Amino acid sequence: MREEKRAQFLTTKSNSDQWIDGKLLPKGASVFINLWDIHHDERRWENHDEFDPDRYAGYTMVASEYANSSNYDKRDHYAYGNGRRLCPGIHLGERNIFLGIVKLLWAFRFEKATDSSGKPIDIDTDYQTGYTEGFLINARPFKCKITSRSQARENTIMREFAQVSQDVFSKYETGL
Amino acid sequence: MQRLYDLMDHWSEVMEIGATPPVDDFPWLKYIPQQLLGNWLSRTQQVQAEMNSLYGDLVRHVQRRREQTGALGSFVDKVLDQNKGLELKDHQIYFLAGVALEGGSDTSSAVITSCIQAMVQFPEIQKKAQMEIDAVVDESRTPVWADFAQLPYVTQVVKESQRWRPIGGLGFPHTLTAGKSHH
Repeated sequence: MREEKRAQFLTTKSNSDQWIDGKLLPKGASVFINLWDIHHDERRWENHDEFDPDRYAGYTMVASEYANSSNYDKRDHYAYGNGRRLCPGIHLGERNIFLGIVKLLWAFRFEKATDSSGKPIDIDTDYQTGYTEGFLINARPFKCKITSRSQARENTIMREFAQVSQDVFSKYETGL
Repeated sequence: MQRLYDLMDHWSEVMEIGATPPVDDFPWLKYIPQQLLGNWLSRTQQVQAEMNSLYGDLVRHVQRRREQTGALGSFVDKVLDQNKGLELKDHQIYFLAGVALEGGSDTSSAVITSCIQAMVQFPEIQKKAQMEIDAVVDESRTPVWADFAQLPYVTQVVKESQRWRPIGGLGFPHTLTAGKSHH
């Protein structure tokens, strides 16, 4: 099972014989790009399983800037794939994900939930047991406590929602 | 929305590594009865039908609305506005719009979910990110894309979420052209 989950990959195909690191990739061979190993290679990511944003200190451009660089050692990550078949949604995705996360962090406090005796409930963050199998890997449902950071922030959210409903959503059909 | 989620579930099952025989690499597999290979053909055809039907319905809805009340500047409106020059076929328009819908929903939400998990697990990192945000954005508005350059630590949190728990390979076969260097 561990092997299976680690083998998250993109596949690619060679149109000509190619030598890479002394190994022949014959024309037409399928090449698997293991995204888990690329992102958890100890040679680049020390203490790879630790969540440490400081790894990216100084790496704060959008992912498309790094994907366009010819230096693969300088890539931030391969979350959007690589090469000519890079995810065409990279620009949308970068904005979507950043805005989603920054608005959530602006608005809410995220904490462990507590059980009936007040003890914090641990989350299973393990990639093998806490995450789904499949084509798209998702965190399995987990308990946590989410509270708004202030009444003023709640008011701002409601005001912006009403505004955008009027300016944008109302133009379009709903309930399709 | 329910139709989109259903089709994404079915599609994910088809695309999961090992769920569908590698018929592009080994075409002779097509001659094996599909019942012996997890009914891959029927399941794939079901996804094909679901995609054609949902994406087609949505585009036809916009086409009808344009005839009745006019263009509204949506993504599909803009594609249709330019289609005199582009001359995309209906099927191409269905998938241009449909893939944006499909590819842009569960992917982003999966990254955001693992980020939330990390924020719960590592409260000091959450606090640091919130301190950075609070220095740039007050309580009277939510952050917008124009704040991006002032929020490098949040960007680092996002990138680390994408590295720490990769949401998986978009396992579509690629084709390399001759002479392409490979990492």
